[in-house]
Amino acid sequence: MEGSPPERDVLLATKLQVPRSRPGLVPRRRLADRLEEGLNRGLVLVAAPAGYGKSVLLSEWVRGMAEPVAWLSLDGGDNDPVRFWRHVLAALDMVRPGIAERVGPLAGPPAPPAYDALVSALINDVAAGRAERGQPDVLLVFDDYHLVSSDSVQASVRFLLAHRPPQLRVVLASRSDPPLGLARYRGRGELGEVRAADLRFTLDEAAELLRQVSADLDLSIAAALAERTEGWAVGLQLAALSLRTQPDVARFVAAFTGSHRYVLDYLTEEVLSRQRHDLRTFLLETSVLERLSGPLCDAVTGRDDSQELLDEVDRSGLFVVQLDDVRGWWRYHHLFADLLRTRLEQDPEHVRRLHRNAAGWYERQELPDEAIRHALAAGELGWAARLVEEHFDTVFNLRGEQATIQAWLPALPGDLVRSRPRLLLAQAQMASMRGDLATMEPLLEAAERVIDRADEEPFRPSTGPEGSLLVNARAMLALQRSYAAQLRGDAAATAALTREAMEQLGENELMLSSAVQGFLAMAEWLHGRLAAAAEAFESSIGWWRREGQVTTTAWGYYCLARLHRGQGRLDAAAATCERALEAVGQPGQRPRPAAGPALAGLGEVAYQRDDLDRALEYVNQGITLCRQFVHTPPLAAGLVTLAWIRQAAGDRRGARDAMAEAESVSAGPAGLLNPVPAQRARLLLAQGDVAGAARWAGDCGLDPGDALDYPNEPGHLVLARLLLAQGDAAAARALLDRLEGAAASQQRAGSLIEIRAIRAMALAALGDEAAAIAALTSALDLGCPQGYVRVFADEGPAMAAVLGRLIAAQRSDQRAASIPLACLARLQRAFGDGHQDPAGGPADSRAARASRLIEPLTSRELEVLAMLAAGRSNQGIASHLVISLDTVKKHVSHLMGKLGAANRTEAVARGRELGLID
Amino acid sequence: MSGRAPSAGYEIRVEGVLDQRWTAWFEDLEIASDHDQTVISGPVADQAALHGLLNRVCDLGLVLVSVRRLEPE
Repeated sequence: MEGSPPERDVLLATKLQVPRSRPGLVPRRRLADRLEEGLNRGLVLVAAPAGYGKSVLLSEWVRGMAEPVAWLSLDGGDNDPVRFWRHVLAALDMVRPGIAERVGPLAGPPAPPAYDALVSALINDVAAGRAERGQPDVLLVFDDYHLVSSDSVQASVRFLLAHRPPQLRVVLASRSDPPLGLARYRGRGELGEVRAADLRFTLDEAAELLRQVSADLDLSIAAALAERTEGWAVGLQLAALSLRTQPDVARFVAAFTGSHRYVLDYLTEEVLSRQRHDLRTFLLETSVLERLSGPLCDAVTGRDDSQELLDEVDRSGLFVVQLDDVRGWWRYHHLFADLLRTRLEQDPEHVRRLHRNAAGWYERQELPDEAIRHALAAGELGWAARLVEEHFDTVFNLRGEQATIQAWLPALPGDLVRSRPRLLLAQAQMASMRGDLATMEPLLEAAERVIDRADEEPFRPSTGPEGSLLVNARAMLALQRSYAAQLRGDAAATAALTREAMEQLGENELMLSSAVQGFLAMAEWLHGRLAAAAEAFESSIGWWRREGQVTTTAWGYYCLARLHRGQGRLDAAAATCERALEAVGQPGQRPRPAAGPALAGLGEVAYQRDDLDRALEYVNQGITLCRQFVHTPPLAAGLVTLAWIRQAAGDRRGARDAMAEAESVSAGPAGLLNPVPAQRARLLLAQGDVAGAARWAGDCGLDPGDALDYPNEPGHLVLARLLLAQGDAAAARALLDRLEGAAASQQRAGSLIEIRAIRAMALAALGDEAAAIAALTSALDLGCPQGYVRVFADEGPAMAAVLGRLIAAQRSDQRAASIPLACLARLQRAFGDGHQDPAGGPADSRAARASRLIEPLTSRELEVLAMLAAGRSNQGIASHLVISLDTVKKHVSHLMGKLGAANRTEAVARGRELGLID
Repeated sequence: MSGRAPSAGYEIRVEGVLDQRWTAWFEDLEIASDHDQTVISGPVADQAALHGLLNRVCDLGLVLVSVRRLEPE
């Protein structure tokens, strides 16, 4: 488990705490006034180098306010944008309870690629708090902002400032002017500033500070010290400390002011030389630490009385800052720590020993960041590497903090990384989530070369062996290679490598075991054994759900929904997407990125059923969320669906744009995990670019004589359409016969619908009308019960022609009537309403559309329809037309069928649409 | 060292006198002081390293007087 909860929470709490008040502070009214004035502008920058008293000034000022303030002390770890914004939300949560829970999910896991959505949500929540709940304005203070160097964090903070609502005021304290475009706000008078010149102590202020130490200090001495230190707060404080223990003040001041030595160096020397030996040693040794606590200092120094010493240091005013309320954690003032460290570094071996002690303590507390930092500082690279490996599962998989891992890795030398199989496997996993085969494969080869070294040390993952993937390096290597095979669509290799992984599994390695199950499912899928794959996914999903593995659960459902579509079961696919939404959703909160694939999946089903408005809504929502989801295939799939929705609406340019974007986000070879290339070629054909599609087929090396396998089926279907478009119907038919055989033998209804539809067109082109009609009928038999429409409509006029002949045949031969009229009506509607002419001809007129009704309404039926529109009941109609009630009912039923309507209201609407009634 | 072309040298001048102990703080560069200023000089790998050094100057609150690139001899 990552960090015994108390320790982690304590450290977070120290970042959110307003630094404590110190005795002996000089109130500086003029600066407080400046801050107030700046606050009215909404944004304040306090910029001055170290030691000017920025934090002290701000904490005193904030302490004097009536309303609580959101305070965040930044550190190097906040360069991971996920952490940065989580900490901001935690700080805001202190003054706006609940905001962390409401907005937090947008920070992942998994980590979003951009933070605008999160920041917008934060802004809206703050503004709404004021508007809806009458909460007071919020003041957010960032201390030590200069520690932020990450471009990603800077960009998101720029966004925050640019869209800052009046209810949110921001103060930034930094040693240097941050790159946040502040000049613009300055120019508009929207920025308040307090700078070094303002922060320098005036003579009066300096005298007041020094007189706290030496009550009747001569003003001329105060002036001399103020001048020598140039009003620098930390210099004055050190001077004050020195004064305390000087036997001869005048001599000290004369020597000090006469020296050109770096002020702090001089004074620190003075101060340190007058401390007790053990205290001096304590100060020097603990200076290697970013934060100090009694137990930690004991571990580092080998003492057992650090707590008392820390209290003493605090009382002496020796630049230690208390971070919490219970005297548990402190830190040194940065400058003082730097000064101490410089003295310490004269003995490098001693320093390394201190860092080793610190690393050991942090490791025992399960705080990897600090442990790794100290291990690296101690030169213990192997140890640092092991810490990275042991915490990878938690940090990357569970918390989605990829930037943190990215920060750790460069600190390790290249040849060290290359010698450690788990580090290589961790990097391979990060690449695999992007589908980045090119990066993955060399890493896996390197890992294989050194795999035996995985046994050299004991490995204790932070998640425990049950939750870890890296715990069993050989199994993980096999799994990664299996994934690479999946990306290539190699079913046999996937199965073989997954079984290899399974053989390597040890007891209790549950996460690995569930991954193995998932990959076996993939192998079945690649083989086209859809039912078996679906079953295997179901059981893995169950486990992942129970373990709270949100990302993997969402991925599992995404695959399952695709399997259902492959089986021609749109109802099941939609139901699976609903289950996914329920699994990853949190009631009362906005959807997380993990909900993206399910929403896009619902969009795809709606599209297939020609419910274009709803499809567009789902798909847009899904795509937005998928952009922040760590697996990229669902995003690509969503964009493909969007392309087809646009194509159906006649927006050819928009369709190409969406398809181009799908292409840009998909990686790896074409296949099950990357359907985009085949879809793109299919769109080219639909838009009449036969040459373009032919080029693609040629580049892929597709040939009608190819051996068939399921992952390549989309490509072969494009090839079949291409052959048709090129006039070679015989070759198309031969290929389709084979495809149909393969699909039928595996009962892949989804494929059969598409194959048979295209085959019908091929047969029609060959002049065999009866066979064409039979083929289309067999496709419709499978498709109609599930509402398939677009698979036919997207084929264009050639399909419309075959459909027309089928309808005619059905009309003339009542015995052969097998396809429900309602279904045929839906299809006709899809053909009629869209711009199916590849050349992009103008919209059909109403009359033309009306004439395309499967069966035109009889004049009697038209009369009845008109009366329905006028609101008459069946009885009313019967009386008016002087016919029996039964006859009326028969007419109504027929006309509803012909119009493809489910009820009278729909029939009337449809009739109006077609211009049959007013 | 590693056979690369010699990197540029830089000379950073600050106010105040720093003694030799600060060499380690400034990445083992040479520290030489005259009356009331200190010169930190030596080879600097690249611009990023130079900015790192300037940050260290800033962190100490030292007043920067000048930064000069030294041409190779």
